Amino acid sequence: MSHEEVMRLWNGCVDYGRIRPKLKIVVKTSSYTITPDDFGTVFTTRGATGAVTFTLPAAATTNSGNWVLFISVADQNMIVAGADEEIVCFNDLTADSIAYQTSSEKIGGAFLAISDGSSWAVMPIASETQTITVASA
Amino acid sequence: MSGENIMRLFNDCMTGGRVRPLLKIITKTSAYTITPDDFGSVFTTRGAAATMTFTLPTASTNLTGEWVLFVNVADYHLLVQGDNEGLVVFNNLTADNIGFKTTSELIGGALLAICDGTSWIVLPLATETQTLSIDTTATSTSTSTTTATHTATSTSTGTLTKTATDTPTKTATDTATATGTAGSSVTLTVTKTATDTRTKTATDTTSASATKTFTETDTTTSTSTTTATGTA
Repeated sequence: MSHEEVMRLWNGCVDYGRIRPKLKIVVKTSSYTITPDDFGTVFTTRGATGAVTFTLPAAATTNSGNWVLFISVADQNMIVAGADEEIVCFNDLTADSIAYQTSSEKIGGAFLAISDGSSWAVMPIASETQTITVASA
Repeated sequence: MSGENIMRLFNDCMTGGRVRPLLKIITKTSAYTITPDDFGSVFTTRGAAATMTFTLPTASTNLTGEWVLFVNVADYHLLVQGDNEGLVVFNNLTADNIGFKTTSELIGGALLAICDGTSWIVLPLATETQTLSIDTTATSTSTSTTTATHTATSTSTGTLTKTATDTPTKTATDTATATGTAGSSVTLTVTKTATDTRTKTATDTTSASATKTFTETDTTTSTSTTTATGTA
């Protein structure tokens, strides 16, 4: 393949919406600490029989731009925790954790965590009646 | 460009967050079934003049990680349909479809469908006042109990050993001995009550879409009266 063809291929992929990578799905049924290898991953709790806490690593400039998506696929509490005061979420710049833990409102809840290098912005992806619980020290 | 430089370029792109591909946008104005070629696409309903239903393929392990985003850009219902019980949505692990159906809450609603190999997990991307509509097919299990009673009577004479078999599978053994004075007649009356408890499982299909399992307990009480007449 010539260099020109390589560049054409590259251009074709980037410019015309042909890069549509699959998401990496990882199942966890017990609490888990996210590592750099997990960035860009979708975690689900399918099969969990107890609360599952996902702990994010400390925000750092090296993490900036990395993301993780958490989806509750079990009728159990799902908590996303960060280092002390390192979560930014609804109406709180210094939260410690955010969770789905209200009965009958757990399944189908999701959190998208994006690091900006200083904190993890954790955004709920939920239905209109799903209660988000935020904990701050 | 050398192979090494190509790899450097690729590396820079992947590690430096420089791969920011355009999303593939597809507009549909009538019902549509998603195919593998559509994975990783954003579907909009711009221009639709009626309810829009997008049907997802059956979830399977080889679809793990595939995703599709649906965005409602018309003031009509937007529905995402899965296989029977094939969707995971809010408070439901076995939903059939999910959508936006409430008047004045239709435009701008979006649904992100991600396959985890077992189901399609469908996450709403909506405002806090946008109402989700979720449909499921009900599956119920019920239990009924019936009791049947029947009576069997037999008569025999003398020293009596009797084995009676009842269908299904009930065996009763009744032994009676008659004694008396030589030359006289003795009448012996034996009343026997047997209880048979059986557990039966029946499958009752009452409609094309629902299979219900009943557990039925059947208690049968069997009463037999035996009269023995003997001469010593």
